[in-house]
Amino acid sequence: MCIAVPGRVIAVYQEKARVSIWGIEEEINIIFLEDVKVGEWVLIHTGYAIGKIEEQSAKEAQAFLKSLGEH
Amino acid sequence: MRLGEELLEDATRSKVIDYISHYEGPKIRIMEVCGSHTKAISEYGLTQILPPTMELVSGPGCPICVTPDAYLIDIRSYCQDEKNIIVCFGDLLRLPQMQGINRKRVRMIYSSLECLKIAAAYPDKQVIFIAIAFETTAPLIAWVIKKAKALNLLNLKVWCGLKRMIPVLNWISNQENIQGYLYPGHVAVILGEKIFTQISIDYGIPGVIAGFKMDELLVALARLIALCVEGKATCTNEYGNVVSSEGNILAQNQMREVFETRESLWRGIGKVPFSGYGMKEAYKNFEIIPSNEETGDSYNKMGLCLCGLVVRGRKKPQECPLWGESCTPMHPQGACMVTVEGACAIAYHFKEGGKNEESY
Repeated sequence: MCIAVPGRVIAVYQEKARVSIWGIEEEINIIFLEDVKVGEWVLIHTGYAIGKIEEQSAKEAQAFLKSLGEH
Repeated sequence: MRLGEELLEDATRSKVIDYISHYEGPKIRIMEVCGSHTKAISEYGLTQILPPTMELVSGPGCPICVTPDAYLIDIRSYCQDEKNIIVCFGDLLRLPQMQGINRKRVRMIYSSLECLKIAAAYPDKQVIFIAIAFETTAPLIAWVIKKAKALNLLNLKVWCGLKRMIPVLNWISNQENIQGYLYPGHVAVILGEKIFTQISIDYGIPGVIAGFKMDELLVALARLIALCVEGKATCTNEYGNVVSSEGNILAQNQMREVFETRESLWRGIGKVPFSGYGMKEAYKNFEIIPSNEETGDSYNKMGLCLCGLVVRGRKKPQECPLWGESCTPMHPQGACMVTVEGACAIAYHFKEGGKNEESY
């Protein structure tokens, strides 16, 4: 199962961080992320953060969506 | 685009839905590799907007579904030994092959981190973690093993049924009639975009790395149709806010430190070289190697369960003679009906256009 959920970082310790997942606070392992900051969003799977959720650069997707109206 | 909010304006979403539903052909078979995608697509009702010229088939991306009976029999033998405490994720226990085991010896976990506490709590027992997962989960398992070694937790063993996505996708690309891939979004967070692009290039099969929200899946399906129409054997990344070109390097390094690749046995597929993980020499003390006997029982004893063909996209759940009859989520005959991300369970849950109250 590869479900992962987004969580907002509210405190950072060494190997761990406290995150808020839909309002519920949990401690997760952040050993595979660098420079985690309070306020960042991370993607969490089975108790650890697999990646950060960045502001999406969607220019290419937006160009594709715009082109749909032209079909 | 903000988390928790819809990603597309209504007008744009309508255009995307129109584009998908009006695709006129040629006929394309798209493999949704990951069970989580199968579930999301059904939950959002997206199968109802697909044109007759587009077919979605399930893939091998559900680790419990693709663990063959030979391995399950091996796991059961460890469960029967009173010297052992068995640690596992929940789905394993619902499999028909696991019925009748002594549940007092079993600890269900959410995170592999829990193995360390359990092993420390039972120093006189062999604590065996049944590791059945793909690369989304494997990095943490590698870290747990490394931590166990540092803590000298020698009673912790890992029955190492970890599987690798890329070799099995290469196998599927060679063997099955697939015109496009919905690549697994969270495996791609770990492995990166480039490695999936290479599959598309090598086999001439377009692919899209997709997220799991409704709008993300709609855009992914539309992009996939566009790639097929344009004949572009490449991959686009529609989950770009979490999937990078190279993936999570720290996680990959952790896996490389602890694991080596080896042949693995897959339900319905057989042996695939380099498609599993075993442990490197420095960590061999912690490893239990799955029994490698291929008993030819990719199907159950009745010989009718089609899970092995469902996971390679050859058959739909509804084509199995057991599905919905003797095989339901309450009485599963095969792995694909057991787990919430199994194609058969998802098809049952959403059959006849609505949620089925009998299911999980």
